[in-house]
Amino acid sequence: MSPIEEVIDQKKIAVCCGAGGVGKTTVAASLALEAARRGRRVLVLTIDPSRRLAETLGVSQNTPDPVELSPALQELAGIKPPGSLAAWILNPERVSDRTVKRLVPDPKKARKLMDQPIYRSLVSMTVGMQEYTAMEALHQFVEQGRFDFIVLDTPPSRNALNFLEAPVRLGRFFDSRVFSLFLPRKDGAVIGTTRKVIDKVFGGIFGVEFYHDLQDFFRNFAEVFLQLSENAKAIRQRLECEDCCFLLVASPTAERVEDAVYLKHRIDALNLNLGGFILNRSLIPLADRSLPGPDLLPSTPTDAQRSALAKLQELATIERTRLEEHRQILEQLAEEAGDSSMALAVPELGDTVDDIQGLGLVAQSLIEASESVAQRR
Amino acid sequence: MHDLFDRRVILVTGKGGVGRTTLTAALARAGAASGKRVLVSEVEELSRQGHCPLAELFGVRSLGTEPIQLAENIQGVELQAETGAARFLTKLFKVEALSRLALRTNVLLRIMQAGPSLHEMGVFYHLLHLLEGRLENGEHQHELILIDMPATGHTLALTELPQILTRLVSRGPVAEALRQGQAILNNPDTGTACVVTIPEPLPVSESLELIDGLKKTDMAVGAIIVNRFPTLEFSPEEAAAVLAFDGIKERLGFSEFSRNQRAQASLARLQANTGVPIAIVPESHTDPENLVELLADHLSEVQP
Repeated sequence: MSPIEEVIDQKKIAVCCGAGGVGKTTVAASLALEAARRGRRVLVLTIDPSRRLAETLGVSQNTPDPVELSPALQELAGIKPPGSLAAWILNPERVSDRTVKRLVPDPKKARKLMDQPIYRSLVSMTVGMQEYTAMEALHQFVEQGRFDFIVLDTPPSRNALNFLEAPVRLGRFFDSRVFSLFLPRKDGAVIGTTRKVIDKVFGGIFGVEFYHDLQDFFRNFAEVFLQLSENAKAIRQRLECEDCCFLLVASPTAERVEDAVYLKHRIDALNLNLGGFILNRSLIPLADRSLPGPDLLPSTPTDAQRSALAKLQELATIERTRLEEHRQILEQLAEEAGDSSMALAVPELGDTVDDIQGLGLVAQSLIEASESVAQRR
Repeated sequence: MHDLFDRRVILVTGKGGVGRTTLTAALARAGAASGKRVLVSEVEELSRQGHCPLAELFGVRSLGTEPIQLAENIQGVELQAETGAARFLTKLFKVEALSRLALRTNVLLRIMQAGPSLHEMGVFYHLLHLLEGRLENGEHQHELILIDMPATGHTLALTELPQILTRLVSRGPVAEALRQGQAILNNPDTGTACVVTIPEPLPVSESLELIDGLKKTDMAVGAIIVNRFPTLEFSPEEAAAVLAFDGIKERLGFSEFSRNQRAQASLARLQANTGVPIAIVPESHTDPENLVELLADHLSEVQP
């Protein structure tokens, strides 16, 4: 079995990481699709998919829960029972509401919490919140045990592993003595100097009224936040297990490759398992192609045909130079990966990449590349 | 493109890998060449390790929280939440001792690390502080501030911040600072966004969504820069001829040809859907340092 097939067939969790714009969402979806085709029950947690990809996965609406591909889409995708594919867009608002409902069993109390203006403002923020919700979503579905294989796409940020740390940072705050200083004082308690300063500072900054709202919010949500942080820690440990792996997606530019190598070192340092590098949008799979030549022209070519060929030949030269560059990049990544993981190249598939067919092609080229890696070993 | 530099602040935004940082540097050079005192900045990111591509484009290792000289008429700075918070407190409490005490208790730091919007708030205030800086003769110390925005989402986080927070905190010093910032950012004469993209379907889709998002946060979009545009052009007849060649899809050069066609279509889509001036930066194969000069030249030639 080739290395990527081991991921697809045997791992329980795969996390796709990489800088923004390298195509990690597409890679995540293609791995999920392939695993479902091979009979596994798969969930892909995606962040900000392209409209086309969302349609392909049947999640163009923001749904409160993961949605399984409709029977028609499953058939189109070549998924047969027991295999299945479900997808969910990690929308902070959805994930947070779902979490509050789960952690606060009394529906009235949960509703009251969720109606707080500070809470609503927080969850409506587009950024930052994703870092807090990805781990929680992963935790919920791992706990549930409904899926054999969960593929997680990660928030687009230059430090792509921030999502591992953010919820823990949050917990550290709520767990600390610092936090207790925010809670409204109990009657008769002695008011310390630090406390006075903090009241003065925060009252001064936010205005007394909002400061009190903030204190209320902190008090009401302290338990929820602490639980989130506990869950994040638990899933963080879970991610160190053998059956979880991180795939680092890069596109073939020096900058993106540098990012991927940096992430690899972070992953090693965090004791997580590197599945390998995936060099997306590379020309390497086209290496067998021949140059365009006069054989393409009919016996009496038109001017347009002649100039078209000349331009194509010019592009072919550029393509060959780039191909060589991509090869060197792949070699560099393979060296970084070492023997325990892999570096695979996926071709540029243009704008059809997010169709079922495109996702299938990505998976297929991953497997082919992986097989040739296995053979070389 | 020239009047772009009459603004006080330009957010240079676009998804990763489109050459946004390089273009921020190029815009800075072009702005400086038009006679402005330019400040280029990037937003700090938590726990990123000593690598600052923007600074490197000017031959400097990294940027600090105080502006440093990078070239004639160009200074550089890193926008930092912590620095912003410190400036805010110092101004608010005037008494230096009290704000130092507030910072020393670590409370603010902890909160800023924990809360998603507080980080942005600190960055926002650092920016405001720099915008307000004056020289002895009363002129703005930094006439034009360019910000290399990390990812499209972060851009929106910063631009939507005043709206979200002023809804919650309608009075007090925070609200006041937000309104001051808003007055500069949301006035198209003083603040604008410059969206950098490459001519490919997905980046263009994302740029269109970003432009929509920016409009919702009352942020004007002054220009779209289409980077890495393929230089070779195929006439419709030539393109048709290529597609009619037998077995062409299996030849070298076809992948580049397809990219070329996608670029044309992507540009047409941007033109049809935005109504914003578009500058095209041709793909070039020069080394990074020359590239900055080359782009600066090119950008100063483009008319809106």
